[in-house]
Amino acid sequence: MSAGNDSIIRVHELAIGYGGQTLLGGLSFEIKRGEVKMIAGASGCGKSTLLRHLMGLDVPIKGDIFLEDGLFTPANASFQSMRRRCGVLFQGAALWSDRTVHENIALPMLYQSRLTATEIDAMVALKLALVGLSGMGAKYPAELSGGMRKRAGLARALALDPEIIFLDEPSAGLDPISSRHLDSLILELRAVLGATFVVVSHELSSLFRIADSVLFLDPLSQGVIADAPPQKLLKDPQTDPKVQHFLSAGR
Amino acid sequence: MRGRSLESPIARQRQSPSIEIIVQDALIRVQFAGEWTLVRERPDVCKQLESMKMDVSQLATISFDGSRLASWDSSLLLAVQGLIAWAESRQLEYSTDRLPAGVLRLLSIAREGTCFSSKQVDSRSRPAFGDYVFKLGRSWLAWHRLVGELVLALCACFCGRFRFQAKDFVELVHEAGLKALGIVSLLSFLTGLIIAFIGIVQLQKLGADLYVADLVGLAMTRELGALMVGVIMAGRTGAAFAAQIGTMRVNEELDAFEIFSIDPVAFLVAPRVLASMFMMPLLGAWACLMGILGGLLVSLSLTELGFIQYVQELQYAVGLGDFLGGLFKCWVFSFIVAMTGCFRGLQCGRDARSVGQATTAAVVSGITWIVLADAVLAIAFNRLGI
Repeated sequence: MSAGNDSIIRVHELAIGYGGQTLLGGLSFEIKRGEVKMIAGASGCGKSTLLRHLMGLDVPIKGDIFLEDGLFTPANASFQSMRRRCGVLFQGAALWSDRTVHENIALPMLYQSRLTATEIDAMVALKLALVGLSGMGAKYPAELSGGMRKRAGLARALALDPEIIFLDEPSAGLDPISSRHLDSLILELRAVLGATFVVVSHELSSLFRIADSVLFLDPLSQGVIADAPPQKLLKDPQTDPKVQHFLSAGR
Repeated sequence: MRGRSLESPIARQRQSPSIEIIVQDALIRVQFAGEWTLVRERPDVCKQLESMKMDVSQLATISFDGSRLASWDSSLLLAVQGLIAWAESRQLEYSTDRLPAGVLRLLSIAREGTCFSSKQVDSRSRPAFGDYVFKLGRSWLAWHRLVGELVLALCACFCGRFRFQAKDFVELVHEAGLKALGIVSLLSFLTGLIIAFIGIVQLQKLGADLYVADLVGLAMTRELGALMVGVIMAGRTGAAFAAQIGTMRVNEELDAFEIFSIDPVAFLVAPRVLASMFMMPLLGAWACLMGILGGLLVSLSLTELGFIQYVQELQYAVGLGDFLGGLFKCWVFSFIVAMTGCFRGLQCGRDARSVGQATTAAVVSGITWIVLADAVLAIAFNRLGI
């Protein structure tokens, strides 16, 4: 199976779950290069679980995930090199708490690049500047606010200049202004870096602000009930009523 | 969840909750009156209906009337839900029109919630015996895999293909060694003191007080120094390793390592194991010294033995083999402590409860394996003549 020319991720008949139970099944969709793809749906529908599978952190029950033409699975010999093309901002930022912000961003570079210590320092300063955290490198994660932690997490996600950036609930726990800043930052980074963003969120305001297309998951049918740009879904009378209801709540 | 009847007169404010059941032809009317609140003793409506011994086949409808209610809370909801279930089980129609609007709304919400929850899977069902055996087998395999991964990681470190942070190693040495010095000193000193005290009481009966130095020296160097340090470190360092790594699992920090292709075994486990194996033999030696000093204190206090005699007797009794054997035990125990702590941390689930379980498991399995290893080593040393 080959991904389309403009597809960076292709999911084919994927079934995911945990503890032997299938949460979502028969998932087939594509993520285009350079787009902001949002995964949405009601709480508990499996958004974050799907994201963990897309990141290669969990093994699916059935089906395949392709990163360009390569099968993205731990069994593949090039799995680690494929994974190095991905960056992640976890829901709670998941910064290494015993290290400073600078060390958090520097560590992946230290182990996965051939940069010298001086180059790494300069690179960390650059990443921090990109997310608006210049001068915060010496602080520990516990000394940062929720929004700053998310930004630091994003800076770490950008550390290895990934092609695909996964964001798990980036706006969770943020006030509307910080959330709006983060959304603007995502759009700017997409424009500057040309990276593909896969975002899990149920923030409707973010969805309309940043998503090029949105993938709706439904816990009852255990699958995808919509995969299209949000504006199109809102206007199209053929859109599933649940999606219409979900989207219209945010207008 | 609380309501108050708009029409309730002040005279009804302090009324006890009551019901009146009126049967008219095919209709039962259940009239609620007074204060239906959780703090008041309420009548059991269903029991009252049962006690009336009605011919249900002649009945068609049950209606609920809340017009005489002074106030109500979720206790009224409970009573109405019971009555609805009673009516449904007897195929009776029911009418809730005369109940307060708030009660009707809450009933509808509760019904929706019940429909939703009935589809949920009970994930906390009691596991079968087979599950325990399966888990044990899986855990056993995971342990061996971790040992294998550690060997590979250490090889990678020594070959220069992976380097863990020197700062981490120094911090861990400080945590696992220097910070434990106080508690190890105190407990070892007291252990030596207790052995000497018990020994002197018995040896004095034979006039052999002199041999208290032999007793304390051999006990501490061959056995108790290492064992005490092992148990203390299992409770202190092993638990700390499990809690640290377990919390990293909960906070997705371990996932972040995976994403950046940084091996958590090489980065987290290897420096912890090396720091423990570096520090614990030193702590063991220190524990022996403290125990011997404890014994000396008791000997000086309760016998006519002098400092020089005590030391000379120690020199006769305790050989280098005894001392090195004890240190070797410390070294083995340090591996067990660090590995069980890291293993339980890596096996930890993704919730706070799992961190507690991982910590407990690290201490329990650490101490168990230390005692088992001590028994095996004691037999081995005996066979080897050490």
